[in-house]
Amino acid sequence: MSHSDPTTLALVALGEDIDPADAAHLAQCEQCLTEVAELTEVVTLGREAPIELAPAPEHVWAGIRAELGLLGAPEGSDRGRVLTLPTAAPAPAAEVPPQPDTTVVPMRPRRRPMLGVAAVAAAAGALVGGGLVWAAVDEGGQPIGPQGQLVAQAVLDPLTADVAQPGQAEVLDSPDGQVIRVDATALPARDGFYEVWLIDEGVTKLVALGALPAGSVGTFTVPPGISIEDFPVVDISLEPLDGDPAHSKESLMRGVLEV
Amino acid sequence: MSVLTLPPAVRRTAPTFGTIGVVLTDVTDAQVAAGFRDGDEQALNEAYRRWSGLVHATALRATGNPEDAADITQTVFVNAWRGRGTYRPEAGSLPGWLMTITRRRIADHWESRSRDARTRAAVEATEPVEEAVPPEVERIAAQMLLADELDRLGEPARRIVRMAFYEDLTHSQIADRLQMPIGTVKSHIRRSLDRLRARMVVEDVAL
Ligand SMILES: [Zn+2]
Repeated sequence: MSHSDPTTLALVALGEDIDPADAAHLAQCEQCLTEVAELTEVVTLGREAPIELAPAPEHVWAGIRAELGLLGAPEGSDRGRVLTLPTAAPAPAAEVPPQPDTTVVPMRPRRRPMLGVAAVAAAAGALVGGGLVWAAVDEGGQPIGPQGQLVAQAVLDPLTADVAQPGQAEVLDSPDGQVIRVDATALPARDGFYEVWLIDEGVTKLVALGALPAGSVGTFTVPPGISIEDFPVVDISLEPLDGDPAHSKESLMRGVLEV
Repeated sequence: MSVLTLPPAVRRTAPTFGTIGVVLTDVTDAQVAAGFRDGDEQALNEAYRRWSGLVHATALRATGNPEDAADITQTVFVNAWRGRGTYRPEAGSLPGWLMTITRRRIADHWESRSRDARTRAAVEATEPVEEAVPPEVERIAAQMLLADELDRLGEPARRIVRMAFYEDLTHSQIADRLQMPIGTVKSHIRRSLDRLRARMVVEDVAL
């Protein structure tokens, strides 16, 4: 007696109809039936499972770091490495203290749609151990008064063809600390959500600022301990609803803050 | 939900870039676990990135309360980091260990809820309210592990399995939609189910 094909057993577990010969075999073969029962349990669990794991809200990670006393601890070991950003970066010499043993890794040219942050990411990967600062803050979008004093701004260049207009970012000193206002009204609605990031010039570190609804202007708190001198690159990514807090590598707009 | 209609194969896989920036895709779970045990903060980052969704989704389904789920998630990672010296990689995976802590924190949560209910009943001298029935945490954990493992399937397997699970399509309908040979679809289904089943066993979750 030959057993049913393993793929057939999988289809039975999924509830598909099978041909009479297989049905007849299953009716009398304990081994195949056991197999089907186990696979059926997997299918049942899978169908009960959520399609996406609900990601923890951003404040949880900040809470963990705070509770463990890790907040604001800069990962200094990567400080000396400078990457050349694709856009005309503000005179690097003025922004980045010269360090011995500086490694310069050129970024990919900017005119490569969708590769924006992939390039950032690849470069960061090349710097083995590039640390991630994930100083997530409260939900962005809290409106701030117009009285803040402008301290830096950036034009956010579109990195994909379907974004026609550049965006804008402004850093303002407000009574509650620095805030960054991001105008991305040109971003079309897409599946997933937009997220705003600050990236350091060495592209070894990212700070997530929060989600930005399509076609809107969002205001985010610059997290305590994070300075825009250290993180001058403003980046907007499209993030899937997959619970993965890392940058998706799909960058739609980016610019460098000029003080 | 529109998740299924996302462009295929683009989000989690980036084969052309090898290591991916802040997330080093060639770092195995075992390496993350070893770094975690040794107190490497980057391993904590990475563990959170990889498994906080698992922990949080489990807590959310088990408590039904977003605030409690967020609190439990935070506590689990804080407990795990502080107790990392007691983690034995040879005894099980890091996500498995995190899920063990998660189940305990969920149990604590339900225990304190029923204690509160008893206290209230005593103080108010009312009939003892029926105790809250804790959810089937083991099963919820298994569901979430399965969702996580499903998400880790490479394409096109992930897409195929999702179509079979959530869109209730037969293998021939899937083959038709994806314009793939039927035999390919069938073997993806079988291999994927085997992989999902193996994860359930590895994590020692009662099926
Ligand atoms: Zn058989």
